Amino acid sequence: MAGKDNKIKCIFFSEFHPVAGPKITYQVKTDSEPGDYISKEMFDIFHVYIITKPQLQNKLITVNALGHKIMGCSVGIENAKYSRNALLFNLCFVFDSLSNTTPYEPVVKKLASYLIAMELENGFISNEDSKSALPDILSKLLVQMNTYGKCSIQVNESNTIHLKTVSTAIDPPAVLGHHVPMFLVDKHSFNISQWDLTTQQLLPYIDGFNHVQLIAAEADVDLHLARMCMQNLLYLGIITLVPIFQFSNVYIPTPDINKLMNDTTLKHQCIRYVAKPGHEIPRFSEVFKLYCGLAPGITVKDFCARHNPHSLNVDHRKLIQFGVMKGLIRRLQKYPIRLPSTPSGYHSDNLKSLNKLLQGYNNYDEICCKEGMSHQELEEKIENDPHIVICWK
Amino acid sequence: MSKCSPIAVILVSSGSRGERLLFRYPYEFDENKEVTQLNLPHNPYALIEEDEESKDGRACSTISQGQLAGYSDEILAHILATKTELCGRKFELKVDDIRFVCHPTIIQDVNSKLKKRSKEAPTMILFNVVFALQGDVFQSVVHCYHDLSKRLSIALKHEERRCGFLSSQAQIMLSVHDEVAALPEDCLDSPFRLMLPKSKLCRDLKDAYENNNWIQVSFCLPHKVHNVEQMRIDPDVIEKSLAAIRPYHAMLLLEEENELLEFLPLDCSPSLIRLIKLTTPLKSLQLLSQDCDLALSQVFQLVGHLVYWGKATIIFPLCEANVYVLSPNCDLRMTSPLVEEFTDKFPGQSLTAVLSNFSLPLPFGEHRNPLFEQQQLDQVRIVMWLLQNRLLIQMHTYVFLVALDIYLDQEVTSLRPHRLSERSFGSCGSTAESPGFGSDDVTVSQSLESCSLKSTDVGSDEDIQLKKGLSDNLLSELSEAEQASVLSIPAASNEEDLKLFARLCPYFRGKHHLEEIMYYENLRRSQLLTLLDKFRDVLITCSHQDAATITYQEFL
Repeated sequence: MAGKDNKIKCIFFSEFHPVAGPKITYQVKTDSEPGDYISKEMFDIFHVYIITKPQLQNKLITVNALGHKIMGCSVGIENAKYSRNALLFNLCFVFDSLSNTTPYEPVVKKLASYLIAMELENGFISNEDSKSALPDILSKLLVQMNTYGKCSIQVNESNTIHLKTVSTAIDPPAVLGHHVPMFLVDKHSFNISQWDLTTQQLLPYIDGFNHVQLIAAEADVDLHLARMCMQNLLYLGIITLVPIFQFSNVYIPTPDINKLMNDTTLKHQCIRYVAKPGHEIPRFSEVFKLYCGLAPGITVKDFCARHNPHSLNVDHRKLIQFGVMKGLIRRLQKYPIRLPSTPSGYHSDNLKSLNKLLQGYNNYDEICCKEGMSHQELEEKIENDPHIVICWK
Repeated sequence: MSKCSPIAVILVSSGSRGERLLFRYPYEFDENKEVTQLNLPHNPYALIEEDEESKDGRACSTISQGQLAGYSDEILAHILATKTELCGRKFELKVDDIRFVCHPTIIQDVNSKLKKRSKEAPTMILFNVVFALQGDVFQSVVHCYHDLSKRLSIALKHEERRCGFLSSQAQIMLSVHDEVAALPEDCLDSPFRLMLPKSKLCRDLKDAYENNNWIQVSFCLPHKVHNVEQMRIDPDVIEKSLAAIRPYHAMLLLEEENELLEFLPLDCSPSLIRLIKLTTPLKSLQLLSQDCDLALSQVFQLVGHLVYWGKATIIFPLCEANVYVLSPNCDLRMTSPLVEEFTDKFPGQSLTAVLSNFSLPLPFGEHRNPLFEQQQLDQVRIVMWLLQNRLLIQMHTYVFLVALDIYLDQEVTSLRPHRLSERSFGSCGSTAESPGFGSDDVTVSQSLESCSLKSTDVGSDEDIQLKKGLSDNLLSELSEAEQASVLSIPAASNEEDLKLFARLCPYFRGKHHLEEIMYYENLRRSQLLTLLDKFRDVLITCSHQDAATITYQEFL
């Protein structure tokens, strides 16, 4: 098997011939071996799924068997002018059986609708002369789709076939007000003017330190809109989200910390990134020791007091930022939870509004953002109440 | 409805009477649905909409209420009773958003023998057990259902050969089909509903749809068993994690022993039963293998089997030095069903309070109050319960050897620190790669013995010389800067300490946690900790989760 390169191996045009029945009229392929890619015998096995019964027409059908994955959308156009009162055809893409063909599904569907439109307009398929242009179109299609993932082929004055594969990424997580966006690619590597206006307004404020709520305020953009823009950027892999930097945060190393020890380029990148500007580049062993100094129960404040990163020419904010961005460390979130046994009326009034946030759903960041209070204020309220416990996860 | 559940299970056959759909479950003869379908034409807007959709070629979903809709029996039989050329291999057909997975099987050769006995019976050439899944399920799920279809097919073929089971069942189903067809239009009932009480095969297929546990064929869909929310499991993750089982791990059963023993089929291996009866989360697999009198490799296989079926998980044996913290996937919500379950199991205790205790990384031994003996037992049971519900993860300590700065500067004339570290660490990569210490150990210990023999009869002057020679042998795998750094530590002048350090050097690359080092080198924790403390200037310790068992703690 050639592997999972997701390339189209062959494109064929198949139709129902009034005399000969279902057959492949044209096929083009990528390999240079002589003979047809889909042999007559093989087509006979599959033709049920290619020139289908009326119930299965206009449905995207993918057959995966015998090492091939054939994707097509069977078309049937009924009209008395055709020899059997209907014109049946199907333009199919063939892949290796292990390929991921999901990106091509809309392409095949759209191509079928192009052909239908062209047939209805000027009998493109039923007219033998215009149909003979198909092999040429198919080979262009094959080359352009495999090379660029998109194509524009002019068929006649009024019809141009535009196709593009769309790869789907995982849905990005929701962006909340206290998240901090951070560029994964060079900020200057893309043309800012191509973005929508709101995003353009937001981009200058993304620096890896400002949180979304602050960015929205600075850029004078509605918070909801700003969050949606960020989610879009996140989907496109341009930014990542890091937790807001606070001295009360707690981080712990992940097993990926070993990467830092073994990957030389990452090591270089790391010591350059965490260096205090205008100072000598810190030693790697010191930086590594700093990462290993992070542990549950040690806040960044304790950490700085204990290890004093500044004396080692290390910027503690950047140290944390780099670690989170590369997945070397992760943040432990602090969840205040009220124990259910609390006698009613015991707790003070100012906590009442808070109570619904103390059910284990919200962490400190979320509560502070929602209630508009500082970490310090919340901490004081929580600490005064013996019925609230803290969980870190 | 879970994405992994099949939408339908279908049995089709092809033979002398053409392609027939013998059985489908769930059968859709829902009265409500028929009413809505009848109503459709009366609503002019609905009608127009529908037309437009089909003209556009856009698909309207064929899944309604989690069931397969819009396909007649005939068309299903037509597309799923494949040509004989496609038999005996995986066949996958995706129509819009439904994916049919099956393993068509020929039984003609079997039939021809039977035919001699009863020439009247219609012959069956091939049959096909098909699972209809949602179109966007992961490849690994598709693979599992194909496997199930294949197993069912093999079992059916075998039964057919043995006693004509399939033919007789098909006969029953076909006669029901005929009966229903003969009924007048107005009392149309689903033939499939009538079939259920009559045919055992139908009931079995229904079971297959509902439980994923079939009587003749054991099958388990790992994705469903492990109840994982994050469905992005690589197909080989489970196999990989099974390979990560070590002799020092322990097995934690996820169900009560009795429940598990009842679940086992009658003909299961007696060693599996012995294993389940003797296992405790305190016992390493190696001990378990001794207790059960089984080879370690066999224990691994049995444990792997239980893990695959979601009946057990792999942990490090419970002991006082274990450090636990909350799992990042831990559900802290007060509304979580676990809260109630916990209080039922441990009256007077609150899950949230217990979890809060585990938020700080204390060794397990320090969690309990020495004044209450009874509490000790409770604590162990609580931790077991927390581990069973994957609320805790264990932190392990790893050790890195790092050369001192002054020696790094000496080693390379250039003053750029990152170039230095790059050199010294470049060499360590190769040593850390070799986890099989067998051969290295021998040479080290041999040279060690010869050295110690000499050291008895040499004067103090030569002592330094010897120490250098000794260290050259012992620490030969380290870079120059690392050797120099190690030797500059006061403890290095103690021969015993240096020997031990040299023996443990290969583990100080951050790939082996303390427990693993203790196991492989047969050391006590106190010995190891003392050594680490003596050489602390060149060592960095780091605690994090064990990468090898991360999947057990989060998924499996």
